[in-house]
Amino acid sequence: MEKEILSVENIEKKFNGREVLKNINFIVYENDFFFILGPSGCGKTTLLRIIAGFTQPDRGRIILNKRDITNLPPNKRNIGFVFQNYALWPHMRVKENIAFGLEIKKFSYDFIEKRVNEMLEMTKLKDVANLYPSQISGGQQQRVALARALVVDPQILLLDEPLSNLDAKLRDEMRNELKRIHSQTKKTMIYVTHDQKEAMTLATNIAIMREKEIVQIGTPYEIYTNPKNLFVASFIGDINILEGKVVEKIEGDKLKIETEEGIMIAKTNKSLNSKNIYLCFRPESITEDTSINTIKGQLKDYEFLGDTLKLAILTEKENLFKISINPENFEKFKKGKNIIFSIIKEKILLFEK
Amino acid sequence: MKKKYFIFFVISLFLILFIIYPIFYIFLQTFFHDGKFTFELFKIVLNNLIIRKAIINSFFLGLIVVFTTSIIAIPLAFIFDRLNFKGKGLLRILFLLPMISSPFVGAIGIKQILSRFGSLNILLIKLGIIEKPISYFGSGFLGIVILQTLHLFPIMFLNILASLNNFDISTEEASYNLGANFFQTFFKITFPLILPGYFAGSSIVFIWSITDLGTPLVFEFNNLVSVKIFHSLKDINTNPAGYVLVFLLCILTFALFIFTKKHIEKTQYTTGKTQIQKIERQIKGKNLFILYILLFVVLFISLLPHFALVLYSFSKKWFFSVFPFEYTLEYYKTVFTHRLTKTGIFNSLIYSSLSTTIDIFLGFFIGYILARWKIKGKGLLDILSMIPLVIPGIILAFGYVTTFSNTILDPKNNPVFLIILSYSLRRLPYIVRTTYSSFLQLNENLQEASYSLGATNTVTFRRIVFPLVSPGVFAGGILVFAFSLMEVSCSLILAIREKYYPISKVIYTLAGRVTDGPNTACSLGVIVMIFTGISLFISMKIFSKKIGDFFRIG
Repeated sequence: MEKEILSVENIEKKFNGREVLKNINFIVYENDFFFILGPSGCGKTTLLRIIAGFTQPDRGRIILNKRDITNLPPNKRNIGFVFQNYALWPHMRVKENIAFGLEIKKFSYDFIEKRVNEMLEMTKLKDVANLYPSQISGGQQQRVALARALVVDPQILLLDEPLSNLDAKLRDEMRNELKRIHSQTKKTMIYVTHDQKEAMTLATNIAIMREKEIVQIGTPYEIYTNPKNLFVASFIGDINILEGKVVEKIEGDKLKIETEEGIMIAKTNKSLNSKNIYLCFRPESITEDTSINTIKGQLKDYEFLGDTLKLAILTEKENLFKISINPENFEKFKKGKNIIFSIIKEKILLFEK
Repeated sequence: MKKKYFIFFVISLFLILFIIYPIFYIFLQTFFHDGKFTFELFKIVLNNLIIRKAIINSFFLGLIVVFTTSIIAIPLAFIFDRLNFKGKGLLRILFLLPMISSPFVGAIGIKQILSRFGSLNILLIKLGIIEKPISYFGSGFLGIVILQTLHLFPIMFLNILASLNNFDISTEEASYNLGANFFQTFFKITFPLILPGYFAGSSIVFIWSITDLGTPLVFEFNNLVSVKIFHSLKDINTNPAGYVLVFLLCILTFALFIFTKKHIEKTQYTTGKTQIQKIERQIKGKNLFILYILLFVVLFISLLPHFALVLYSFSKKWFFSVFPFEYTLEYYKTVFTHRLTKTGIFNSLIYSSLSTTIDIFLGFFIGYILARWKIKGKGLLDILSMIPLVIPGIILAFGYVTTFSNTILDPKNNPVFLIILSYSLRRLPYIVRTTYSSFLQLNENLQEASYSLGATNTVTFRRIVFPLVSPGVFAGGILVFAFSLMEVSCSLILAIREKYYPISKVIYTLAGRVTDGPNTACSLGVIVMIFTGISLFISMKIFSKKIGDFFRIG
């Protein structure tokens, strides 16, 4: 069993009477790279600030290593924080920014020197150690912020949208850096973002937030393949949605569903309370075997992504579907071409309307 | 939380006692006689022909000075905003120089040049241009207008320049593009857009002009509200004129301030957050030469009082001649040996440094509370700390003398506390505003980053907040110090006994002594001027362009 390191219990918070967090519960285990993923304004940064102690919750508890830290001031928590805007101190050199936390803890000069150098090494900042934050690039500033938070060896590290201020290329680079640093330091990290790609590539566990609540917690695989509701399904990855009505139950776990595109058969062990449902499937959940669940349409557009080919198909009923296929016969596809595909019945996701 | 409210309460109470209460006391004295509410005093005072004349004179003085400063400042501001030429930066600073001494000090100097048998008349007679000496100052009124204009036009200049800085030139281009000519564009587009800045500048100049006490006293022109208030203090128990006049002055300044603020808010057109386009025309060759001559003539005239002051301070004999007959350093020696000047310098240094300390301390605290604390009633502190902006020195000093007479703080016995306080409270709004905006600009994350690394409040304040905020505050402190050295009204009114005189009162007293008094006064004036100039320069280096904020409302 993994060791529990942080437990967030029943957290609630209002700002000026407006509820921003409601009944938040989750557990983070040691070495986790735990993601809080949600659209902007869903309260995820507030949650992170409550864990760090910058904001007080109205209700609930934060337990860190079996200790209730809810009322502990931020400077007594030993929780690292990487700010979205980095919050580097403009009047201190890179080196001094990193050394600050160690100086506060009154370590010896030699120790500080050694630790800071290790950090500079790990974050590849040796060359800019004596420069001021304004003299270095965005990516370097980001690494200083990371080094500054890590150098004091915090129990956990919180990261608030750390890559959102970087351009696309740097973001990819830093994502790999973060992955390396996480595996190198084995630090438990909680990472807040609205970017599902970051979450899918880095996370060990993801908590999906929507309007002040956590909707689902799970590994990236669980969340992708078994989303709890339509919101989660459409927030993570591409999804095709079709309205439908359950007309019949066959062989226990199969459902016959009437849709605009005809009758579909779905295999599910989910119990549905309503007959009116959304039938959803991922772009890759299709097959060339066209015996059942067939959809016909015209190729509207395509996107070649190297390893896959994404097709946008418009049916006669004006439904637009995105499917992804093996790009082997890329040349064959021309706009306007008629396409037939089937949805794999086991991979159909059903949600109540 | 309790501690926060306690600190908040103490600061507010202090400000109420020394800002609101004196004003309130004046209002009471104006309307309550023998315990009854009455307009009687009002009637008596306003029926007095001399007082009525003084009110009218003051009003006209203010209007005329607004007009004369505008004539100099508007073209100047446009030149500095729209044109680019060599030495522009330096010239911009030079045009602030007229502010580095109080107009009354300059008045002592310029009397030597523009008096009946002063340099100018002698020169003109020698050249055969005139036969009889011209009286430039008339009854003294004209002298006040000249001195105030030369002293105050930089304030107008800074205000208009600031407006022009925020002015998007593309709005003018759009007007030209639609077929408007220069004049149509100026009156329909440019002027309305810079009006808020112009109006703010005008208000400051107007109030400054009518509450100026030193200059009328030097020109011995007594028929002005400020002088009447000053003299009324001698028999304040039997003569209510002072209260009524101060009351009227209060109402006028408050009204102007509120009107200006409302006007600025109403006309804060935001043209989006896009980068404001600046196109400056490069001036070269012959045009540059003409421009230089123009600017230097204006600069020379505006600095004439200062030149005269310097010349006078070095002159051994200077009567009936264009320039002094003989020069000497004697009076500078006197400054450091004469009993009165020594006292003045000593007192002023003490008063100014203490008031600066109080200001930095209070300003830091109030600025921090306003920016960072989430407590109820914070707005009160904001208002309290901004009110001194609207209270001219003469009103505050008058309030102190009347309110605290026969108390432990009575300035007739020992004015030190009240002088220091009046100096610091008058400049408090600037310091509060500086710290407040520094704190706002200081991202809270910078503090939080420090907390998250285990630093306490004290350490965070010492190592993060203080180093980042202090340059602005200390630059402000230097200015407060310089302004305190120049403070006139409060010094003239509050320092009643000689041993408590600060520099400005010493200068005023010496200027009135026949023999060698004026020369020594000038030497002292020059020393203060140099000192203020250096302070201004240092603060400017730190503040860069933002120095204009010190002379603006809104």
